[in-house]
Amino acid sequence: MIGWQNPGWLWALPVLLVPLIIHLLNASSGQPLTFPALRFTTPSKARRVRSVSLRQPWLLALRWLLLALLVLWLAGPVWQPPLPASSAGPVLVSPLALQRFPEAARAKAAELSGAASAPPRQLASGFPGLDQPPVYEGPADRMLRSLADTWPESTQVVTVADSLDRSWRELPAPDGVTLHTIADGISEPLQVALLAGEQRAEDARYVRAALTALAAADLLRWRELIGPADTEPNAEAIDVLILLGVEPGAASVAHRFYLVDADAAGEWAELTVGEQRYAVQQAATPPSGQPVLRGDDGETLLALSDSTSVPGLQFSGRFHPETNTLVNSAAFVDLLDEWLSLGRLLPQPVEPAEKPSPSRWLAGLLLVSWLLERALALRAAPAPAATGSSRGEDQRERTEPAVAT
Amino acid sequence: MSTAAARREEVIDPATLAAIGDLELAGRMLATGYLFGRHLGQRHGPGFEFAQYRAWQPGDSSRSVDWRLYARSERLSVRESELETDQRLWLLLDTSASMDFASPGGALNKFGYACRLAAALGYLAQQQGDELGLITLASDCRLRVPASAGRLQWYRVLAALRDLRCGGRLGEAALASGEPIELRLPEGFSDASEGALIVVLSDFYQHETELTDLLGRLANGSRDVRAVCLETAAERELPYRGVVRLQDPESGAERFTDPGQTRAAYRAARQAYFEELRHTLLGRGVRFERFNVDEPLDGRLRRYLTDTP
Repeated sequence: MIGWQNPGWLWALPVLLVPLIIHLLNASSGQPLTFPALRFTTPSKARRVRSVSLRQPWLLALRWLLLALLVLWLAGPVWQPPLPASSAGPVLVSPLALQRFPEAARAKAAELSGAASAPPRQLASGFPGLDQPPVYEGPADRMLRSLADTWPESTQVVTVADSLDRSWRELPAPDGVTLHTIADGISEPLQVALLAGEQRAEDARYVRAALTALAAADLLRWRELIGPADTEPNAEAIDVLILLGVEPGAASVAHRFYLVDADAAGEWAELTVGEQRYAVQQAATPPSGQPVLRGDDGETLLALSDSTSVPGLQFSGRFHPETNTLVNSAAFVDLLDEWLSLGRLLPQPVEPAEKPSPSRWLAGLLLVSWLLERALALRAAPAPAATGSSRGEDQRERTEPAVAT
Repeated sequence: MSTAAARREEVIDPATLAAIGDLELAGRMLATGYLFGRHLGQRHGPGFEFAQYRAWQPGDSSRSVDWRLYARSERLSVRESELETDQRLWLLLDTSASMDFASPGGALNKFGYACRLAAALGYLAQQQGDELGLITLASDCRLRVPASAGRLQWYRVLAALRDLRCGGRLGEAALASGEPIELRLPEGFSDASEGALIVVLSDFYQHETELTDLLGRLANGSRDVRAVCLETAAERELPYRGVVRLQDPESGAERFTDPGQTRAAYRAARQAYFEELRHTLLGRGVRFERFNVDEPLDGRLRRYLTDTP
């Protein structure tokens, strides 16, 4: 089955009529034909060219083909394998997939929506359409899990394989829900590195403890860096780099995801996790970006940066019990796991699976048709006389379409 | 001549001829086809334009010996020039706008065909040592190349032919003055053309009878006047279909006509016109021949020259 990347171009198909209209206009516009022996002709009462016949129908057909190929090529055809009838249902796309693999996710959604009863939507509150910017509102898989029982039959979800919550991944999909996953190429388990500055030697202890706990549960692997990350031989293998008191620029490796802290020099904020309340001294300047963790009064304590130079999470404060009572609790381990999992959100250019594109074939056909049309058109037009006035050559050109009428 | 023989002779089709952009080459090809086997090489004798030396033979006048050459080489040599005869060929070429017409899909228009024909005739004249001159007929008569003999004269005519462009209406200068249309030849042409062979290349679409009168006046003397009428297949057949709007290139007059219904009448009228023209010209001593420019020129030229008394 063929779909279109730019289906609006199909409205240009009436352009096929243009060659015929030009031909008819040429034939019926009454352009006089130069004819020296006019004196021997007999005037006709008719004043309109009434019969139109094509002298070179194959050339006209070739031009039609050329224009049709051009329009189809501009419309961008794509192969869409037919869907099984049972797969028809609402299509939901995980915001994580939209953020990380927008093209692949949209293509998959378009493919699935061919047989779906409704257009694909984001798996987020209110199910915004795909034309809306992707929104992040926490792990989408949790939403899916909680709402799965209410999904219509044959709901389809496009998501990223590794971005699902681990507990979700270990469980089968809810009944009636089909998961279409896009491979993301993230290391499994997640590779985390910690780099602490001299001012954060104390802070690193608590982070280190939490990472060790997570590694013991085989949820990630981590190691501590001694110097800047670019001195590490396997720096590229790091999925998330935690920087404590170190500017991201100082560890200038093209890391996929950062978790950076900030000096605690501002107001204190209260934070409730479960039933426990914690206090965090914020940085003087709140982090910018999409809030991931908020205080009880709405302060942004952790934000997902939308910066392309330093992608990742910015914590508004330090990981030290003196300024942050959270780090001493077991909840910190869970929260850190959740935060680090967000590293999978990073845009990761992944080439979609190579499929034979009809556009290439169309482009080739277009070129061949154009060359053929030129050759035929030149062959149809007689070569000008080698000697004689230029007006004579013009004359022949003017005479050509007239003979076709 | 059998059809097969005719095919063998007519090897240069109009498309090939049109593809030969060089008038010199086209003229030579056409004329050589006629000269082949006739041993009409260039002749030499007394004259002004040097051609070659040859060894003295008994009977040669001592005046013809080049004594300076003898002083250097101690051999008696006679200086020869290209033979100049008292024959003179005048080419009168119609360059009016109606000559700028070719059949749809045709390789050559009438003017291009006439230029090649003129080049071939000029080459033949030059080979025979005849004088050659060129006059164009359009809104007025214009002397393009004064008659002269010699090898270079043919090249002068070729250069003039290359520069020519079609345009204007036959006898337009006289038409504008309101007087009866008369094609007036350049001053002194009457004297210069006494005893000459005059070949008029035209489509003979005259406004009144100006061209017929001109040929009659020319033939009224010792001149040998030949009329070569050029026509295209389109003019002969009126091949268009449906109602077409035709325009005369010279007068600008337009007319709607339905060739499908009027073709027979058209052919008859045209045939009658040229038959009457032929009779009129023959009556005045002018031989009239029609050349179809969509047929091979070399074979037609050969037949024309062979049939010429």
